[in-house]
Amino acid sequence: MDTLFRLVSLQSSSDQRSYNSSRTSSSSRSSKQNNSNNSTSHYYYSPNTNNHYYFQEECNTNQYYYMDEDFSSSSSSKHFHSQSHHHPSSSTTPVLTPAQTPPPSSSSTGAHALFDPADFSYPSDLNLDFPSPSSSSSSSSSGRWAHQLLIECARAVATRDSQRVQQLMWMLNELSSPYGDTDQKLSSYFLQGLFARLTSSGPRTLHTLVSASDRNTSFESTRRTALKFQELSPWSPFGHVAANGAILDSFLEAAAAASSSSQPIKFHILDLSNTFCTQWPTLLEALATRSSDDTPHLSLTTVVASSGPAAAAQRVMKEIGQRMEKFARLMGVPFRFNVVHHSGDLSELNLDGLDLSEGGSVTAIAVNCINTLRGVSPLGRRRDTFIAKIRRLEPRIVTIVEEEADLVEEGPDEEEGFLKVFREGLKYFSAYIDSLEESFPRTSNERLALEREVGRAVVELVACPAEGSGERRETAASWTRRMRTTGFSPVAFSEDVVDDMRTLLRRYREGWSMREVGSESDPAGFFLAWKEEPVVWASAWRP
Amino acid sequence: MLQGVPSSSPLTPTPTSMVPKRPLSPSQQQTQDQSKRHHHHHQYITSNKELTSLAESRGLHLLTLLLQCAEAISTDRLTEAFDLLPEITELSSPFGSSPERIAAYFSDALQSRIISSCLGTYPPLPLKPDHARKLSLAFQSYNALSPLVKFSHFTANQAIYQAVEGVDRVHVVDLDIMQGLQWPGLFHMLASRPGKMLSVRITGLGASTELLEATGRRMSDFAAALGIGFEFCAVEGKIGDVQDASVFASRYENEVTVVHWMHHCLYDVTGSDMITIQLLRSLRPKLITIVEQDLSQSHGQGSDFLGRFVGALHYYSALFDALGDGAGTENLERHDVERQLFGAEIRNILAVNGPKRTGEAKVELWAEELRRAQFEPVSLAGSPAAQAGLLLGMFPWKGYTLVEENGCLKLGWKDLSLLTASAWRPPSDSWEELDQQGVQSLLSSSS
Repeated sequence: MDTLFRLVSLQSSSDQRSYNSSRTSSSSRSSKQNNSNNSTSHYYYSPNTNNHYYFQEECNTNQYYYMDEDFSSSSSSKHFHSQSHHHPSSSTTPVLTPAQTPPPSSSSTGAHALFDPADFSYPSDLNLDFPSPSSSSSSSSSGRWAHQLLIECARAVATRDSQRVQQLMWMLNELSSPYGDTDQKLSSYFLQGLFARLTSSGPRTLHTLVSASDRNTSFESTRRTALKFQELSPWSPFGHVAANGAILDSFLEAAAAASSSSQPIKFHILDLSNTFCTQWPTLLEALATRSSDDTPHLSLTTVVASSGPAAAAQRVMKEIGQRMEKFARLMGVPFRFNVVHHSGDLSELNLDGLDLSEGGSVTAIAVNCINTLRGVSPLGRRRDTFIAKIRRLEPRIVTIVEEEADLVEEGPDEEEGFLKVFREGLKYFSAYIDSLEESFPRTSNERLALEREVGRAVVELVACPAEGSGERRETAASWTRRMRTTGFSPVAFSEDVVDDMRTLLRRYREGWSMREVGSESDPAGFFLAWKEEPVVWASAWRP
Repeated sequence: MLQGVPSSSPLTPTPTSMVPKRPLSPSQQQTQDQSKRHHHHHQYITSNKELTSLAESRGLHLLTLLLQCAEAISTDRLTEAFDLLPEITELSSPFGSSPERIAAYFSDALQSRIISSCLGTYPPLPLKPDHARKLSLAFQSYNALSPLVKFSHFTANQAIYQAVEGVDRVHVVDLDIMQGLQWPGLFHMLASRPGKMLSVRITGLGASTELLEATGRRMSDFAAALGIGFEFCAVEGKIGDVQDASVFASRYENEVTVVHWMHHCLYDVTGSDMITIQLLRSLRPKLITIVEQDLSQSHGQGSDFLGRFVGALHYYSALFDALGDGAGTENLERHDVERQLFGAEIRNILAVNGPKRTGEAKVELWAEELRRAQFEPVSLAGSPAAQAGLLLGMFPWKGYTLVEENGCLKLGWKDLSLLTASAWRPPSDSWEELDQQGVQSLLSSSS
């Protein structure tokens, strides 16, 4: 297989000239050591002076030290002092400039470093918890070095303590790696976010990251990654099992009520989730199995929110639809599949325009929201408004699955709000990445794709304003408040459904657990927890 | 966790069967089987030729982007460089093909470089014992996956063996001993020759006393098993920073000292290069053996950022290919070696001021430097070359090339030289005389 090596050999000859030109342009800025082509430079060794020596170069410039041309003498001041306003992302002025280096000292004490290495050492006030070979690999979020360093760094950024920022970012930069262990990955992605914030290049960085991802990832490969994820971790399936259970119970109840009054009933599921319909085959089968007499007609309307041109998404969804229809036929379930493609914020989706009642027949409507609500802008009352829209559809049941994290900015001022989001985000993504690391094989490109997604999410959370963010998760308590305010009350999962959820967890590796949210008298869903940390919330509601 | 999605059309859509969560009924099983067959059929449609040229154009695209990014950095256009990184990253993966893996580590190193340039922070973190230990372990895996490490050991040991012929007290100074993998081989050679070895002393330098002592103990055990009198002296720190050079002095009257160093870019070994050279001169060891990485492929390349970048790209492309040959893409050991060793080296090479990461005067090519410091080359043609040739023959990997050039031995992958082994001895004249001669010739040639 042709390799970079061969291509590099071919390239280098043709590019030689361009390298030379750029070198000569920068060599005028700083002096540099001559190349070793001419070996007339040599030592002058005087045994009587202590360590006193210098190079004598062919061109007779005495210099006391070697200055790599990397040390630019550009006159920009240390960059992070000047940022107090947002740079427009379309501007061509460079956002990143190298830090000014101190002018060379003219002292004659021999080789002189251009910076004092003593300034750069492990900060003595931070007792960093690096794992020793004997420590266990538990992921307690406190006490691991990445958390300590990152939170200190975030604080330094918030309080504009530039020296501290420099020191801590330096350490993070040295220690981080997107291909290392959980700590190193967290450092890498959160450092990227902090750096974007520091240089006020959040939206720009995010835009570049998202376009690169869009260009190079197909809808189909994203679907494959999702499937792999479901296979190896209960993170998504948990919500699916819970939601399916609640929807099915609700539908069957409705069917029973309808048959006693001999009215034909239809079911309609409005699926507002981007899960490639992986949830529904199980439901279809269960519906077929558990319906007494004839299975009522089921319609499924899936709303696919996509950011880019819809062609690929449309094609794949069409294929998915065809397979769903075929499957339904096999199951003996009368079925219809609709897809709605929507771009833009979900709060703008016109729910009333969807014909859910299908021309007047008695229809039991279920609305399924998997990670949907957090996609609605957190500003103003948009989230409440969206929930109210769902309420107006008069659904029998609404299933809500959301990831558990408190990422909406609040607090006395902007900096406090930022720090809170940073802390909470670090806690959440730490659990997520840790669970990925333990669920996937080490050399997994799917896991890498999911991690890179985290990178984009972190830039959005840490360095961009809150409006368009799809990452602003809220806690179960917070969503519960919203649902109640809008006139919903919780529906408890039946024993059977809870059993199904437990059975699901047993299929995966250790570390997962579930627990009820709220109290027995006032239940509001279940948490999926990774190493005791709640990460996913599944709940069901009715008006 | 997955939000909305994008746009570009995939190459060959792969119909995957949906996975129902309950056991399959016969009709479902049939559907699933059919889709699997459909899937395989799709894969064979794209011809091998198409796949190869696709891979090539991808590799070329990656290469172009990497070079663009490096050029931007070399001319301080950091924002432009930063903007190129996401594309490079998306196309790369440490679990992919050779170009994809290289791009993964290079893009990470470039990002690191941009951040440190903006911050104005250049030095590396001090090396902690735990990390040093991890690197040593990775080195052992590296040793198992390629003949490069053994090449250094065999070649140097053979040259040392020749240099200490007829000598019964040997002192080895290893500038970066790590786990001391090299020395058991030498013990063996010395124990096997007629006449008893009176003593073998090793002075090992390294970053952590703890690790050095463990190495010393291991060497001790090995020597004892071979019946060789052995002493170990641990020196924590870098040779160029050593205050008291008497630690390297001979302990016995007939003791012969040799110095060995295998060069890498994982961390700085020598400290002050100038002092190191002085020390080597004053020590006057019978032999100095050095194995250096061939990071600059042509002398004209220079040691500025772009020169280092291009040199490293050549070097690691060959090295990744060499390690990849025969090992599958899933190979965990190879992944660890690439990530912990090569990735770390690449980061250091692209960092401000290169692997040494200080603004101090530094040596680019030690072989050249020793020559300039008036050491004389000792040819490795002959036994060392023969040993190296035997070594290569012993291993299953084809594609490694061995070349002898001016008494140095070069081990490479498909003609791209990766390591150069050379040996040096002090001249018969005194240093002062030679320096005087040197100054005179300079004065007479200046015009």
